[in-house]
Amino acid sequence: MKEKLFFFFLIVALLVSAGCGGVTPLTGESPPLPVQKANLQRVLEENEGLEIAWEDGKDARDFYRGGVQQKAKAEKKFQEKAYPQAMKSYQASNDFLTRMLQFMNEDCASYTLYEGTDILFFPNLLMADNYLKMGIIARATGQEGAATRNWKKAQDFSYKSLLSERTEWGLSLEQEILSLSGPKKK
Amino acid sequence: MRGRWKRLPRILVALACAGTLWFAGADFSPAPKAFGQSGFQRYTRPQAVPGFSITDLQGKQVDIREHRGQVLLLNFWATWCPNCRQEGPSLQKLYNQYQSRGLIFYRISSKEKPETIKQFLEKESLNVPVLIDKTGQAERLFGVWVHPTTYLVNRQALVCYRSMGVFDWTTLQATSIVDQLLKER
Repeated sequence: MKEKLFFFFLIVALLVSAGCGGVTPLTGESPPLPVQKANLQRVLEENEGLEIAWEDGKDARDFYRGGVQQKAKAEKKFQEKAYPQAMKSYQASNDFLTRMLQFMNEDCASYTLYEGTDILFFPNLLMADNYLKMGIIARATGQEGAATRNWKKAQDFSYKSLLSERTEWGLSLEQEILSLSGPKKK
Repeated sequence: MRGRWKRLPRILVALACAGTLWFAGADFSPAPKAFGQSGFQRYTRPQAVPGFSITDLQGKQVDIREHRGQVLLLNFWATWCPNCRQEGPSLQKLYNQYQSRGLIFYRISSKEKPETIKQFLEKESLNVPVLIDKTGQAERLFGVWVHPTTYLVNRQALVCYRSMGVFDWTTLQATSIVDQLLKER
């Protein structure tokens, strides 16, 4: 009987520790990176240049830059309220960034590409921002279900981003997502 | 003997638990492919060469748009970059071989003092024409992230090829591409 109990507790202990192993601790103590250092405008500027076509994407760098460039297009159309075109570019941006996340899935405020070349690297946060705006477009066009789904995705990506790099940019985005999606959930 | 068989299920349970633990801790995500040097690449959708106007080492203004109809090789580099220093001699050989055949060469150095570049070229015995990108505008227009990065532009002023990182410009691959671009009308 004692032996059975021992094995039972052993199994429980192993399963619990296995579960805990997959959880990354939150780094809530450190102050977030100020918005002056990491923000959307700076990311867009860093990725200007010759346009990356999907077919020309060779490695992670190309897919990241392609995703940011498509986002720049989408932002412009979003400001102009040209929603169908904005939606298309947000989707294209997400396609690039999703491919990118297969290579590297953590955001980083100072990613060293090569010696002397550091970039703001925020694929998760960019995806979150894309889904946030796709949700806004969906709501504006009367698709409440699609809006909710997009904001749920935005929430997931902003959470991932904040886990790897706490930024004021990410925190304010998270607040925005919550303020949009929160009341509807209740 | 029977005692041993009795213990077998327990051993199996323990092994299964250990396996679960290992499985939970193991990282099965695809191996992250580093931002490596991607080598030589042909653009499937060639793009118009961005227009810019900067000065050469002698202070003469060079407008890249004035080279429409010619084949251009634009090499973004820096004197402080080890890979650029490594690539320099093979680029010089290509220049010696092709300058008389109509290939326009420019090595574009960003935010460096002309004196520093002149000293470097003298020391290394290199004479490929150099342009000074004082504000980094040309680099931004192309989206250069790494030195060296080289672009090949065809006669229609379209950027057709890109090389990132050190590339041996004396190889058959390089010369056959240059030959092909020069043949195009």
